[in-house]
Amino acid sequence: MRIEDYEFEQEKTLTNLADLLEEIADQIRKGDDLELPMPTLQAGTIVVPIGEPVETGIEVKLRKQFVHVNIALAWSRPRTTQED
Amino acid sequence: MSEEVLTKTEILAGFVKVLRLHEQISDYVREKLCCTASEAERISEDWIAKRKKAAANLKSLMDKFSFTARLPKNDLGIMTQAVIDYLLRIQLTFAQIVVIIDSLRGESFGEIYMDSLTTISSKVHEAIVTLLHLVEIYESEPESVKADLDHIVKLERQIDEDNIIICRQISVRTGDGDSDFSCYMMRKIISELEHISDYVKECAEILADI
Repeated sequence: MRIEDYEFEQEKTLTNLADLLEEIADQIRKGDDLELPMPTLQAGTIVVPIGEPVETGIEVKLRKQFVHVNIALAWSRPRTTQED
Repeated sequence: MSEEVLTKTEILAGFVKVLRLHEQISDYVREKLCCTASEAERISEDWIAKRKKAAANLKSLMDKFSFTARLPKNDLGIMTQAVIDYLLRIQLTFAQIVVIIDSLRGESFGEIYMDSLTTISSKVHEAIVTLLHLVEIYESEPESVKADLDHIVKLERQIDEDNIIICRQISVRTGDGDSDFSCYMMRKIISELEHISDYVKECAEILADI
């Protein structure tokens, strides 16, 4: 059986976040696979295939003490997987 | 029903009613999730009754929101709506957890997860209790609101960390090829609990702003 939902939250400094976004941007520009850090995984990273078009969503909530920015990305899998 | 516009006090009273029910449900869930192997049998029997109560609570929650028919058409009304948004999400998430617990058919979780599972469900319960407290004392002790908010924010952060720990434990298990239905469902429960802590935090943030 395979578990196919992944998600994690982690606190980062601004510099760490900038590094993460840069890394993601570079990989997206290349257009092959996207390697995402997943501290909850034994391996530590998850690799997902990239494809176009990308559906994007940015949600912003402003409060007195906090700012929430949620970024969501979705695309269809570009090729059928060989697994299973 | 009267057409009079709600006051802030009435709105807070409305939230208290909703949160009391949430608190009960979260207590049932916590009790079910935290049981040790020796208690497992008794708790599983209790769960049948508790589950009925949780379902009744979930059902009655919709009525508790009927006060929105008299929301003030101003900033306070908008804030109230924003809080209700999250309260409904908490409700839905609890419903999900209850349904997932059913799907496990009383099977108990592997012992290695129990510590983190106990911590995470106790902390979620604590966050809800704190939110209830925040709303109850909102008008009488406005100076304590910040302390409750800080506590909720702290709990949310701890729950995030516990979530990472428990997911890694599961990942180690699944990495060894020992992954199954209940393993997956347990991860779902953890992730839903973690979402509840996010929603509780957002509620507290909005309330602290009013």
